[in-house]
Amino acid sequence: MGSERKAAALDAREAQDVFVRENLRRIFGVIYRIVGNVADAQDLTQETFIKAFERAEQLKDPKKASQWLGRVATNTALDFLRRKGRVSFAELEPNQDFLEAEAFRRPDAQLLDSERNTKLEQCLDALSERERTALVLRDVEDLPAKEVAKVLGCSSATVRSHIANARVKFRALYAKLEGAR
Amino acid sequence: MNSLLQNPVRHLNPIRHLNEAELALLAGGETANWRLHLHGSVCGHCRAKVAEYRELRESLAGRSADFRLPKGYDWTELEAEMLGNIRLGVEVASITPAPLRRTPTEWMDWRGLVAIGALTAVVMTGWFLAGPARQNSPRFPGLSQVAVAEGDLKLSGNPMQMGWESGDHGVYFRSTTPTATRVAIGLDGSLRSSTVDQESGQLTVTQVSLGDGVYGSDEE
Repeated sequence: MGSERKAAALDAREAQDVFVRENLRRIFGVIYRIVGNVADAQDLTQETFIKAFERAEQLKDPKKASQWLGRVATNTALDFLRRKGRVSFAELEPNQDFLEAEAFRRPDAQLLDSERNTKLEQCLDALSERERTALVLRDVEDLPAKEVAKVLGCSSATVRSHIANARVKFRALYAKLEGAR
Repeated sequence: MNSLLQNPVRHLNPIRHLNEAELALLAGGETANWRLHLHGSVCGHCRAKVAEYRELRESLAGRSADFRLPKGYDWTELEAEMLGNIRLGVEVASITPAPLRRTPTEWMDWRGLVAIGALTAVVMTGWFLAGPARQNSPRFPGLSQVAVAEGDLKLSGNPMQMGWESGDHGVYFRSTTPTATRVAIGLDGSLRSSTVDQESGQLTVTQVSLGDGVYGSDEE
């Protein structure tokens, strides 16, 4: 009976490890784009997974675990910004770290990486924090606009405005980079 | 709808193209405005632009894992560190009782602090008002301390005793019981105290005066 319990515990731990490995990079990416620095993104990513395992019973549909984890990550990152007094998404300059950062891709992605992907990254990085957050949640994470508004704590009209501005700026930057080729 | 009625030409004009924000919202399906949808479906120019926005939007979808780290960071190291910390965190969380896992902000938020502050204020006020009576004032009715003086002769009294003194000498009548004593100054400059014995009901009046040298104690 004891060995069965141990085996079950090991299985559960392995399942957790697999789940973390499969989602770690994506979750880190979401948080990193929201908070804009590696150290905080690292802490918050860890917090997200620990929180998710603690609240696993809240997950109704295991098939949506990845999506649910994305929401936990988004809320964790935004809570962090709120605690730091950046809840208002006040006018912030585009993150220069992103613009000056050296391109980094995981090995398998490097093969597929193209000039286009680099440009998309550059455009995304050039947006202001609130525009980038809105666009990441809506277009990258595919959250409904209403939910983005809820997560950001603003009205649907405001979030639509953020999303529209972000897309317009994003497209203009992309066209500029394409033209400079 | 009002603006449509006021200026139907502007709203239904197929030549007026949609602005960039409208095109961007149309591409993501965030608008329910029938005019935008109608124009977007009939105008080739706007339809093409909406398609461009859609294409960019689709190219962003699912790109969470594609990010660039600043110089000096290595993803492999970060990943290993995070995996280790998550394992450790999950282990700790599984053996730590739930109340201890709460963060300070969860159990000691501003409401808790206000409640504790208010309670402390009430207790302190109550203690201040009812507490150090021995130092502030007697619990007995009447005056706490009275004194009358003429030359070097001084009459004084308090709830426990009254009498007179001159230079180094003096005489005082002390109360034999710790019961209520009232001390009062008379219009003629005398002092008068009255005590009621709680057990016998006996009233003791003590009066001293500067003028005619009368002093004494009566019991009724």
